[in-house]
Amino acid sequence: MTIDEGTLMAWIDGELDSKAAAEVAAAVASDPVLAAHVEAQRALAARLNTGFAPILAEPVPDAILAATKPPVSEIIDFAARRAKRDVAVPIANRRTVQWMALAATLVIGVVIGRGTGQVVPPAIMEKGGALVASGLLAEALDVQLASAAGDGPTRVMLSFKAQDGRYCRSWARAEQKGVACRTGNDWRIAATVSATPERNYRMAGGDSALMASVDAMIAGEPLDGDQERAAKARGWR
Amino acid sequence: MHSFDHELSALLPRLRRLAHALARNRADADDLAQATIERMLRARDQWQPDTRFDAWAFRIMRNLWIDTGRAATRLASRVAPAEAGLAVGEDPTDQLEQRSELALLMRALAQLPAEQREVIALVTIEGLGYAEAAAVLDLPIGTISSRMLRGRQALLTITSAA
Repeated sequence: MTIDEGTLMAWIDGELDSKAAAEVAAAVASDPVLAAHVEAQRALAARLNTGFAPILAEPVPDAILAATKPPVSEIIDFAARRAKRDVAVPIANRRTVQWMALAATLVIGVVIGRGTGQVVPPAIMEKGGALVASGLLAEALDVQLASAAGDGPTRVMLSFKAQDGRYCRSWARAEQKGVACRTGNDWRIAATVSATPERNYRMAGGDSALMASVDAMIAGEPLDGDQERAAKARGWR
Repeated sequence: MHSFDHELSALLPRLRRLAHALARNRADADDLAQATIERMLRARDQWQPDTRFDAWAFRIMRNLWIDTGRAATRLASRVAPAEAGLAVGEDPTDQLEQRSELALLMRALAQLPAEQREVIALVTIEGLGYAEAAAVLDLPIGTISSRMLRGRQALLTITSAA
């Protein structure tokens, strides 16, 4: 009998019922050409099996193990920091740190702008006596989810509800980090710290100052992924 | 509730193996595995505990690979010959890795069209039956067997030449 190639492959893969399998086996046994063909295909399958088998025995890389443990860092980080902290920074001091850092950030922003000669819309502008997010920063705060990792210039790190009922979000950009709260249609800046790479020594201090200001404002826990999506859907109101 | 986490950690080695069968190189494979796990965790409520966990996970991985991988593969197939030529003799570790059986097989699989590569990955490497692979890929069984046939013939030609 003639065996078509598809049936032969299905036989090799154990996909035929016992009657059909017996027929193919008989045909292969009586036909050396067919048998050689089957042998080549079986050898290929065995080679693929053996070749990929070492991956099963390898230790699973840390990055993959870490990915199995949700929720992602920021929230855990935040809770851990808060739980660990035993000395509270007086609020007056916190404010001073924030505004000094903000002043430094704005100055650095101006210098960078002049140096490159590029016209970059400012991330922060003054509006009615308050500082608000603008341009790409405002856009990121409107649409980006902290629970979804993005690779844009702005990373939204944490979303939370403040004690005064406003939604607030912390962000990080190459040159600065900060917190902004939804006020009307704007994201009003509540705090910023400098994060310029050449001022690394400030970054650590900046992070804890930022955490302190979040801590002073937050009501309850940061939003989880679902709460964040719901808040976004309501326009952060 | 905990069964999901148990199933997931038990499946990690196989997830990595399937990722290696689909991706072009080991770094891309682990990126694919990681992205799959992240997507699984976001969709964990969609898994029904009385259904096959591996098939569900493989389906997520395959869809991710389709979303992100095909464009990259097309790009790679255009630049690969020049790149491979330049890389020879550059870095001894790379060279060693490139000569390994696994790397050789990954390169051979990468030469197959995606629709053949995914059925071979699922059936021959992951050991799924045609019906199970058909469910993962949302295809009729007949399509699985015809793609298996063409893929295997092509792969045999590629590996005998190598």
